[in-house]
Amino acid sequence: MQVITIHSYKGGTGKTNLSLNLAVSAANRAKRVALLELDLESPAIYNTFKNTRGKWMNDFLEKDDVKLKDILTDVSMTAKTKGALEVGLANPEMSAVRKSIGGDRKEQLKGLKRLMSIREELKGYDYVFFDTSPGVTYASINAVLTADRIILVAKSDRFDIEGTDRLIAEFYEGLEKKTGLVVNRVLTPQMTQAVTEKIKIPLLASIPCYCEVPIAGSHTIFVNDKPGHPYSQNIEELLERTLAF
Amino acid sequence: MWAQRVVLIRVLRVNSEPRLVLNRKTLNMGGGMGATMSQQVKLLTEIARGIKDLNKRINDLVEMQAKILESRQSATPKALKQEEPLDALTLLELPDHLRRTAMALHQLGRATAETVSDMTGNSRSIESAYLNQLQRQGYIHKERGKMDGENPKKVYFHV
Repeated sequence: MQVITIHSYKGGTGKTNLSLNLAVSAANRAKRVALLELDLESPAIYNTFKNTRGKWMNDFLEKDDVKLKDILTDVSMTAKTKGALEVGLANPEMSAVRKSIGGDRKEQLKGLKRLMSIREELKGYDYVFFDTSPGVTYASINAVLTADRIILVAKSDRFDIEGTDRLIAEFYEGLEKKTGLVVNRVLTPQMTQAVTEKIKIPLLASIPCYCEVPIAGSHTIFVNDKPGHPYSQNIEELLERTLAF
Repeated sequence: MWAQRVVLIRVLRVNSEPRLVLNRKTLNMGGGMGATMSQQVKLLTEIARGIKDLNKRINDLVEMQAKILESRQSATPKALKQEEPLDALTLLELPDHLRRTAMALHQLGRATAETVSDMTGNSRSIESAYLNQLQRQGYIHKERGKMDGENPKKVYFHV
């Protein structure tokens, strides 16, 4: 089993879209895949997949008696994947969001222990994807610490480049995790060059800005709805490189 | 520190002074140019006995010091236990070698130094030292095997 975390310094880099499409793309290879939403502060995947289990990732992280099988929703039919795709959704209710922000260190330690335990519980799965919150929050650090591979997503604006560079220097160095960079929503090739000149980790993909992606909306799975689109090909290549590096 | 000094002084006063006086006396008696062979043999025997005696006392002192240090170290974690959860931010603040060990233990849940060393690639003795360091700092717990399938003779660590 490979645990792959998608993380970024700033919000709005396209992490959730990438996580969703990467998970579907992996499941299309007839693999068993789980997508776990760890962006507890701003949940979004519930817009794409409905929670039919009544329990959330928040419950799994907080309570020892809640198992992943209690919260994972099988969305293979909805997503039309060849292999099995299951999702663990973050609770979008404000009370749950507040609780996730306000937990003390002992509660955060429990969350980390619970995340570490998924390797045992999800034996038999091929890939587990974590969609995280941006920056250095407890949920995102826990996801990074649990991962085998990390995809760091950045846009090509100056704030994002500087922040991502600092994130790598002060947070990622010393963790000894396989970390690759995705430059997303690129307008010109020079923009990718500007990012790679500053950020010295392997470049996994440079994905152009396609208006069709936001227009398609959160209720569709882009790689399955438009498999011939360049964005879908970018996702396929990104998955390939992520698993290879 | 004070307790250690007091112990050292007491040992020297009580045990070593009579021995030194005896040695000095012996040297004055048999160390001259006109000493006979039997006096020289007696002197050398006395010196050899003195050196043996000193060696024994030095060993006693080393043992005593080791016991004092051990009792201090075992007293420390009791005060810190439960005070420092090994959460994500704490992991990030640890030095690299301890972080590697702590993360391996996080993944294993509960393990011996040997099992952790299998994961990190370090030797068992190094992992044992790192795990004990984490335990003394109050980040992890240490106990003899007591769960199902565990060896009660082995020491297990857990977060």
